[in-house]
Amino acid sequence: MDRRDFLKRLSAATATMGLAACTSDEKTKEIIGTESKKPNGEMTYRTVPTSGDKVSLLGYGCMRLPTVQHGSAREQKDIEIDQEELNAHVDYAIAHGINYFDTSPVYCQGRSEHHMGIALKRIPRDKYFIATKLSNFAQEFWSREASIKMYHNSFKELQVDTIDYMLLHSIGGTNGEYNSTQTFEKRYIENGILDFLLEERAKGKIRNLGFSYHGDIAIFDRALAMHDKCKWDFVQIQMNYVDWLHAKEVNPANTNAEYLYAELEKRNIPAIIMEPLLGGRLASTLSFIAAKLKARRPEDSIAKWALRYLGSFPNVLTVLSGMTYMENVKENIDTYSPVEPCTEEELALLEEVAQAMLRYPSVPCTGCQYCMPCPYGINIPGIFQHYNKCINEGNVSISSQDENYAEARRAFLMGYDRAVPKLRQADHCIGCGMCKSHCPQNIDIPKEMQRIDKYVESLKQSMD
Amino acid sequence: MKSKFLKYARVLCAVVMMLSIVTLFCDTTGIARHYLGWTVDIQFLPSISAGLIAAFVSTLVVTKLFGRIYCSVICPLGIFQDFIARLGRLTKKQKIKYSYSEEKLWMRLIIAVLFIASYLICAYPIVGLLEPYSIFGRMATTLLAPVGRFIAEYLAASSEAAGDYTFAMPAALNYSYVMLGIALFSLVLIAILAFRGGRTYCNTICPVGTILSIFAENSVMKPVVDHDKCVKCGLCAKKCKASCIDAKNGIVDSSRCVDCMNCISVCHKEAISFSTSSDKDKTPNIIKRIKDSIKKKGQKDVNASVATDESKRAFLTVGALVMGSAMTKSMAKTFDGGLAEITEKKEPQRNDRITPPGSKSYKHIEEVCTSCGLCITACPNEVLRPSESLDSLLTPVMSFEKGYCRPECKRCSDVCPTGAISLADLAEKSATHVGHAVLIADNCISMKKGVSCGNCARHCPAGAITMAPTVNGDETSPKMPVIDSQRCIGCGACEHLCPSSPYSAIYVEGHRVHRID
Repeated sequence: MDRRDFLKRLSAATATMGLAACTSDEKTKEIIGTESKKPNGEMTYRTVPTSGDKVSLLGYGCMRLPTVQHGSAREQKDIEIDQEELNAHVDYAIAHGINYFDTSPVYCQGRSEHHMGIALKRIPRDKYFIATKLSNFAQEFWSREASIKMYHNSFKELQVDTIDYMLLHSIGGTNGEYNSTQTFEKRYIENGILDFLLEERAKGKIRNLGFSYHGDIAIFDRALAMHDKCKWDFVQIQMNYVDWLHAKEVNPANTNAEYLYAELEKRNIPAIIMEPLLGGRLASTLSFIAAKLKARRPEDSIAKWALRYLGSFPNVLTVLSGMTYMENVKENIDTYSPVEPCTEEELALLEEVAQAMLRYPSVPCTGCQYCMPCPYGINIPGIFQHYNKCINEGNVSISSQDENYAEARRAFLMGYDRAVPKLRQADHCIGCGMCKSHCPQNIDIPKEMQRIDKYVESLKQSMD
Repeated sequence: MKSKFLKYARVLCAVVMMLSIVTLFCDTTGIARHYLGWTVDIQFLPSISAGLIAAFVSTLVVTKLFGRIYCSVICPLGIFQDFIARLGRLTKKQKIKYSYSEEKLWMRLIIAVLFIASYLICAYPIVGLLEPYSIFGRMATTLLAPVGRFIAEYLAASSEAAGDYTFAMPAALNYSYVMLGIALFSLVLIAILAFRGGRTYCNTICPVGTILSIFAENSVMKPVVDHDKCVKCGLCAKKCKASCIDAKNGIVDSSRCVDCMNCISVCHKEAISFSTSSDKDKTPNIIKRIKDSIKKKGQKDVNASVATDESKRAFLTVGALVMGSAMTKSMAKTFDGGLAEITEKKEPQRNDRITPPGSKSYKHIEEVCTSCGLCITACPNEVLRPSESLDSLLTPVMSFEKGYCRPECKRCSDVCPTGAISLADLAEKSATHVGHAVLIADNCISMKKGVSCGNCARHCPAGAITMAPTVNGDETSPKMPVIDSQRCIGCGACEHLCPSSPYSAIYVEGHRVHRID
């Protein structure tokens, strides 16, 4: 082969390669196209019958705001909200149709309202609805003065003149020596706070009044019995495809969402949904369970299923999701722009999945942090979260005869030390029970702590 | 051609040995012990203490055959000095030249006698202070182990970031500034000696070197000068770290030669070889040398610069300054979330210290432990730390501020090269009573505040604690822990897990002699 010949061949080869490169480039583009989380259409809106508000189906929950410490919040003794990131979330949310923001004076160690105020101040007031709560949990706030002070402080922190949605926060719980009825009486009735809020609504300071509910079903029924007087504009309940029919199996103290939803629908009260992902447990699950859903819709995340499920109910006003990371915001917006309701067959599949999940003994903790701080320094939600995560990943073995026992043990113990510093682990729980009454899920925290501690102990002692 | 083979072989062996021992001290996983544990087991004093007769006899036989090869390839302190000496030769503009020096016979003898006598009369801290492996061990524990932890933490952090479970976060090291002080003192002293004069420590101070030299002085093989080839250029003497080549007379003093083989590799005339020696080349034996020395009457002042204990005391208080803040802030439950501050625990005033299970008794650990610190670097529960009291200086003791002696662990016993800590199995450990728990009723939140607790009882692996009502027959009265001292094994679970801080309501008193049943 002479030189000319060689050059000819070389150029031919280069051309072919270039061509090949072009074609493969096109393929890549296609893939990028489907993976990007650009919403395909418009956000779905639902209307409040009383006020006529058009609310986005996805609501931005402000209980898990982004922090400066990011995911590595191993020692979140003093969390610091990442205002810059929060602003970016809010801007993106507003730009893509979200108009409902749900906060509370107690969220994020009491910082949520303040930071939401800063973020929303930059947005025209008619572009969003703000929801906050009268979170007078601590007995020191039960007096009329203290509760009203807390109410007024919300206006100040949120930098607004009217509050669009005001909630009696988490009725149905107990407090210290008081049972659920007494607690409800003391927080809202005896001190005249409910009447006060009704007046405020009449004055227009509050545009919609409702309540959020966890726990004792008697209190839920009682509040609804007051509907004629209070004219609830909305009610916030815990609902998802597990709680629909299996709330008691997750947690004996809870009531099926089917009942709650039906009661609201009967009275034409729109339902606002919390815990759509059951504290994140419906966002990641055991791989063989996830496979059932993936087989049906390979490109959809597990979380998307849970959100679509809720969007299938016409009386659901908005679904609150605490979105710590931008990718959650984007994905959830995508899911609801617009919502694609589940078919009958898909609903049946989700019921099947719910039943499969319930066979695994996870702790029904949603990570709300209401139990914290533990006076003995224990990181309660951190421990439960790790335990549940290991269950979901198949790293909790019952017997040392299990096939992957050694591997699962290593993953559990190492992950435990990573997730929770040694001095904050379950073995330091003395069982004082101070946390118990704060848990909206009514988890017997000391008992669960000791159960997990025993499990950890058995893993450690079976080493080498 | 210069014969460099022997030197390279020596360097290779030394590097492998050094890396192994360093790895052993830096390891936080307990894995290195399985593969590299033998490197410390064969050390001179540890092999005697642990009763590893085969290792000990082999050392002597090898020394008798080939000279003090032990000092060049086995002793970590020796290798360390070679490294420092090498630095000395690299960094100086004019490379340091060594030169022949007379043997400081009396100094060697006095230190060796002091060493042996200390061993016999049970003055063990002195033994530990002079013995080369222990000196190196303390340097490694205080200076290298933290580096190991740092690397391990880095690996753990990256594996954590990658969501992978290969590397676990290592336990923190219980750092002792007394040990650091002693280690730094020996480090500086030995480094200066090595930097300037090569193996000065080995030739003049090291008691193990002196003992080995008795076997080495007429070893079967040694570096031998071929007088026919030798031109008396003196190059070998300039390269001899041990300062033991009398180039003028062409004699290598094999009582001090550490078989580094540098002389062989450097000789242009191939006049030195490692071979059997003729009578003429033999180093006179120690008895003869002593007689000669007395004859010479060149008795010199021996200012044995044995470490002054006082200078180290200065470091004692430094570590004790870090203190936990005040009582647990019982934060009002107004807002949700956040973690309560934890008051750090402080070590209680124990009348009797607690020694690790497997150390049998105070007497045993004092006699056998050379205080190298390896067990302290190995403890995964942050329990072991060097003693800072004079009678048990630098030997391991236990305390439970950061963890307790876990029933499934016997790593200290696995790594201990001397047999000072030695457990056959975990069953033996759980039957060993190293101490007993004592109640301080005033600190107990169950008794004083009526809080439902019982964390000590719940976690006692020996079932030695039960919660009983403070008022006889009244089940509703506050509960108190009742300790069965006979069952208590002194593991410290109760002390560590007691919610009372900074001082626990229940703590362990050590036993001078461990009871096994």
